[in-house]
Amino acid sequence: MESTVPERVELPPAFEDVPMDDLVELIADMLERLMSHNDRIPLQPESLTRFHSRSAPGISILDYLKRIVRFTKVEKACLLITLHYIDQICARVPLFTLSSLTCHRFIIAAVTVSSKGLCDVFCNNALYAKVGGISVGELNTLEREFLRMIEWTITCTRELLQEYYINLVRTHSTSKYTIARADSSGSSSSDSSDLEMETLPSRPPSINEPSAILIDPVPPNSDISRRATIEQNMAFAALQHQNQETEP
Amino acid sequence: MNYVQLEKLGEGTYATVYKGRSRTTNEIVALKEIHLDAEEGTPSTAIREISLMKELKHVNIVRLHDVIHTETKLVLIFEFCEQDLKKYMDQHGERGALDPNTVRSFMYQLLKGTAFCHENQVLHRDLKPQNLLINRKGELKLGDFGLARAFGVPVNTFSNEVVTLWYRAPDVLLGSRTYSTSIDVWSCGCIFAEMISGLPLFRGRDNNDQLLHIMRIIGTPSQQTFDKMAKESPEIQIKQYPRYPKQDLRAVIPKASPHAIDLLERLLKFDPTERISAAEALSHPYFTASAANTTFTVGSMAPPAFTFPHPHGLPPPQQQPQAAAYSRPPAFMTNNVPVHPAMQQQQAQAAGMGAGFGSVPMHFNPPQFGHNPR
Repeated sequence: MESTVPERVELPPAFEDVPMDDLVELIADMLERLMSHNDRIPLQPESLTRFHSRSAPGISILDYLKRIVRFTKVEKACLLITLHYIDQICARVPLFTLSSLTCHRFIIAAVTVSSKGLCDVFCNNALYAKVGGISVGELNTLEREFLRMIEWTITCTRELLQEYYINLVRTHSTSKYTIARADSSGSSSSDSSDLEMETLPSRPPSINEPSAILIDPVPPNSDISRRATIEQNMAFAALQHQNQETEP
Repeated sequence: MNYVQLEKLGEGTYATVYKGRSRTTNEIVALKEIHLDAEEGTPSTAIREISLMKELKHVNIVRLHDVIHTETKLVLIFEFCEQDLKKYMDQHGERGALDPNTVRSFMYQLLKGTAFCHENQVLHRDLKPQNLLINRKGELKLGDFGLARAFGVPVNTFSNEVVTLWYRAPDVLLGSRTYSTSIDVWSCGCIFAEMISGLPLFRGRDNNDQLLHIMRIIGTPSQQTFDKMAKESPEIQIKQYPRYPKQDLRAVIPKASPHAIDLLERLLKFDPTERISAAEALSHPYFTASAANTTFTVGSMAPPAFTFPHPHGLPPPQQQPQAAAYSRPPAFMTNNVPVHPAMQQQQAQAAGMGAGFGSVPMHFNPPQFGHNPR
């Protein structure tokens, strides 16, 4: 295939088929970018939530996700939907930001809720708490707060998850991933991925545009930003708005 | 709390249901109170029930009005319904059997609610008379979505322990984990037969016995059918079964009309891919060929008009639960003029709309229940 670029990793067109390790790396990369951006926003007392730690936890978000995968056997859809939850909550609760102070607690609460609400096999909160490094009492509170913030809307569609997957690959910080052409893979492919593939003008993974949810000081490439989900755009707007407020 | 808690309506394994009244609107509601366990946090059944029912707004699905979530308890505020179908059949049926017009009206509403779930990518996975609620307008509503699941988000774990045994589809009994909307259709078929005859159609003691009960009536499927099912769902386990011939459903359910028999046969197909969909079933001649069906007049509800989806007349006054407690039904309800829902509500309140049953997780007779494995 495209073996001219040695570090290039080719991923299957459908998110269901992506190896768990790659998915975790893609998600962690996105979260890292989100956190490093949001960490620049000064913390206001009124934006403190139950998800805030006093100081950033000592474990990287990549290792944290790996730990969750290893001990809870979380499904890929439940990990990926976490990104949708971030968009949803940022749209509904503009004061909330995913930063290095909130990300870990947010992730364990999101995985707990999505696994319990969407899967037939899941663990109890005592285990999710242990894996997440918090007490079960705290997890129960976070779970309640999470459900309140997201207004109990915890499902979405396969197509939306697929879109998140495509965006993760497209915006990965090192551009090391590429998605196999749908026809070169025998695995289940989806219309949306095909569509996304075809509408992308520059396939070379050297695209260095920022993620749609990240604020870019330069006006983002309009072509790229138009492809962002509504949720991402709303989160983007919320972040921008907040940025104006917090950085007078 | 914005609701006054009134008498207890029922108690299930994980929730207690009370009648309640809104302090602001005086509306009568059902309060489902769920106790929170420290190890479990918010129960998965409650997360499912709330997240799904919140989106499913349909006249044939119990409406979730509100949720109160505190550290110690979770209260779901539902639309109030007088009773469930099981109780309705016991009270109004002749040895449980309902008259043909009522059966047709309820069946239509059951399929309508089920089709709406499927359209919205939700599997109910526990349809049975105890989970179908009836209000005094004769509206049937799907309740208890604690086992339900959205199938829009692809996850790999599908539990095989779903649906109360007597209403469980044969593919699930064989161990399928790739089932879909057709399992709810099977349950609808079982409920249909039960409304006509007054008795559950297949009353097995355990998984295997349930399969044998099914085969004794609809016949053991051919090897070809088994092979096809095994190919489509490789996880299923097919053993050796006695070769039962298919019985004539007219003999099994003598009260059923020819159209009813035909619909029943299409709902109760052993092979899930052959089962009719809920949406298709709604246009079956059983509902559309009106002349053939309206000849029955045995002590029935007011015959359902054919202006679906609001086909429900009022039950005659003597059939209303605790009729003495009510004034006469509001005048508008005696004819079939469509009324704005908000107005219906006000008028119903004015008429002192009342007692009965909310969405209770009834733990009734059948020996086995679907549970989510932990």
